Amino acid sequence: MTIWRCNSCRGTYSDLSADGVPYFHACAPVTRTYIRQGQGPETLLAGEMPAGAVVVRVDSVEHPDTRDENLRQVEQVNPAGKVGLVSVAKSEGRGRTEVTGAS
Amino acid sequence: MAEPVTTLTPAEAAALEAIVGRAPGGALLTASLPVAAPSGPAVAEIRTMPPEVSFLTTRIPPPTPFYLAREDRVVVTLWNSVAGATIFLGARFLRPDGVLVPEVQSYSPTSDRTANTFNLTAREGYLLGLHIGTQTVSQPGLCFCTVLVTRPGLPLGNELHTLLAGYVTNSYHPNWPGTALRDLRDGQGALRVILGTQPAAGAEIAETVPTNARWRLYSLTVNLVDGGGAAARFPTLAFDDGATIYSQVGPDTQANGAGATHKYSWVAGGGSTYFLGGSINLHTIGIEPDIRLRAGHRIRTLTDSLQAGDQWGVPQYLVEEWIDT
Repeated sequence: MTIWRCNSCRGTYSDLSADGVPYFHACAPVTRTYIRQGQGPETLLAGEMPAGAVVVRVDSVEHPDTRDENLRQVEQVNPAGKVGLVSVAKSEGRGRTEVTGAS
Repeated sequence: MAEPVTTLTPAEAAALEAIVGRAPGGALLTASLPVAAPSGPAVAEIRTMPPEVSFLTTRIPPPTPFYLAREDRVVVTLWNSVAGATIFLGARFLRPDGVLVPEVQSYSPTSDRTANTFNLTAREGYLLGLHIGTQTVSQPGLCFCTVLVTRPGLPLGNELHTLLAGYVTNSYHPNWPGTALRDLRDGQGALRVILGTQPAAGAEIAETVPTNARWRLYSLTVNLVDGGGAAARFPTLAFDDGATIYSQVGPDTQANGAGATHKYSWVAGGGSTYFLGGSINLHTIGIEPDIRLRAGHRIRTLTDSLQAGDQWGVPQYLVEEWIDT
């Protein structure tokens, strides 16, 4: 069983489930937490929550280089000049790296 | 000294009588020999009335009205999600000259749930029967097959006849004639335990329903290790269609404190309970009992005050799955 790390979101996964069905990784959306300290302006939380800060709102956006291994079909011309459908990943993102056996 | 007289069975007596016959005057030559009484069940006498009809042995009409012309094509389409699956097709044709011809083919469809189309080597004549089988697919919901009759030149999607449509497993082989046509989403699907993606520290979980699949979520269990900071974390589970959240569950009333590991288990139709302390901090949270997700829909965590050092584990979830195109 091969373990991969997504180069976009850094998540790790196996691309084949134990029951023999392939697994298609897709990056999670990036969650953004906006906080406010005292009467200060609303700011985007980066790192740990500062003492005394309160969460104003939370939203999420797609990863800018999202990887989605789920398939879509595109037309492709084969060497004989015939047009056929082939399956490709919806979005390659930054690719993936094999980490099988790595600690 | 004469040998002792043995007892004859009725069958032996009858055979002996046939051989030696009768003495003049009609006395049985075997009449003086001891004969055993018949034993065992009596043989029923079978009485058969002469038939009132007779049957032809030549120029017999075939037992099926399904005649394939030379232009007709039998098209097999497979949607499959099992790596390395092999699907077998068996058919019997009756040629116009009366010769019965079996046809056996095997297919190796892709495991990405896209349509794999194969042409069966059909021939002119009567199609007597056809079936699909496998030894490599164990559950319904994983490999769906259709067998259609069509002709070249017909507009896309126009077929002449649907012979067969259904899931094939190693214990269920759909066949024509005999098996009712089935839709992709009918009946029981495959029960699958899936290990998803473990996100990087500080990131949320998101599992996407694969292309051409449909899920019914039964449960999802995952650990959250707090990486530090005093903020109380409240994880929720959200469902979206790839963009819009249409359902969100939780959190329960117990926050995830810093430096602890908490196990969250969202269970369809269950109630919400928690048990904190000892070696386990378990949160069980009920979700909708029959939530069905189409391809591209996502199951996500959304955690209030998730910190950069917080680490979700590998999500483990049980779904019922169908092919869905």
